[in-house]
Amino acid sequence: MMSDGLELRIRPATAADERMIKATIKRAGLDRTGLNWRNFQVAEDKAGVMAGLCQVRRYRGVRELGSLYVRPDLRGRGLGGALINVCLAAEQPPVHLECIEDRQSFYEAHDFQRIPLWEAPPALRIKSMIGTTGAWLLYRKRVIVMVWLG
Amino acid sequence: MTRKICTLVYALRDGQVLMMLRRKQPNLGQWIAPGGKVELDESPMEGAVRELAEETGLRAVGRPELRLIITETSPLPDWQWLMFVYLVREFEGELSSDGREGELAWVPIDQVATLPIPQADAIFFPWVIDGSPGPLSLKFEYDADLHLLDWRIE
Repeated sequence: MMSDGLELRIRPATAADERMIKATIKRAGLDRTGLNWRNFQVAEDKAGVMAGLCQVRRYRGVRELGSLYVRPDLRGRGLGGALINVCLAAEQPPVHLECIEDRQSFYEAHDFQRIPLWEAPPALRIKSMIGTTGAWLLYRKRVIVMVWLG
Repeated sequence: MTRKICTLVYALRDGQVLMMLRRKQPNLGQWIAPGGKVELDESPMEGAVRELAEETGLRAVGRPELRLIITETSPLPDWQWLMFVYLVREFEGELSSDGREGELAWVPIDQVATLPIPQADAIFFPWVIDGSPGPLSLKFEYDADLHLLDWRIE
């Protein structure tokens, strides 16, 4: 829970956010596929500066929570959870996500549960297998799939 | 340190209550009932009726029922609340919102607790709708990280 001292708010992204979104995701080293600004929610501080991002991507029958980013100086205050809640509010379950195994407990706290890769929708499975190999080669981290069932 | 006096207004219709997903602080990203600060020249009930109309477009018919008086305290200067919680069973007008504060949705009573809602709201919600003789007075105490330490019925 956050107190109101910082005056953060969350709004749907606009076309004017497109470059900021792409640059932020690139800099943060997050998945650079499916960065349509129309799917994004943007958190901003009192000065209108971006405080965080999140989206639900849509592709071939999959809705995937992704691109969760919180500005480093604002981490640990619940903003990530607030962004997830806002993104999920507009969705019907199931919504999937993929993340490194270290993040499992964070997403469990936000009502996602881990599922075996073979239970994921085919399009996510294919994407995840590519991502998994990459993450293993680069960081030696295991990528897992989780689902929110509402 | 100033205490904020505010209202929460639960509009009830066919076993559903009107909830709002907050896009602003406090309670950013959580579902709460409509409501807001009581202005200087208002009674809490007048504030409740005004906030319901402003945030939802619904006009209360008859007298909103005062269900709970809630005190929330913490070591933080900006987390000191005195809240008057109302139940509105009859209202008129069309649901409308500019979405500035957040999105509105009718939520079945038994699903309210499954939404991301503040911990205190999950605790006191049953007393809002259970038809028991009110109002009831509750106090919630938080630590500096706004984790709920303790609460009690007075």
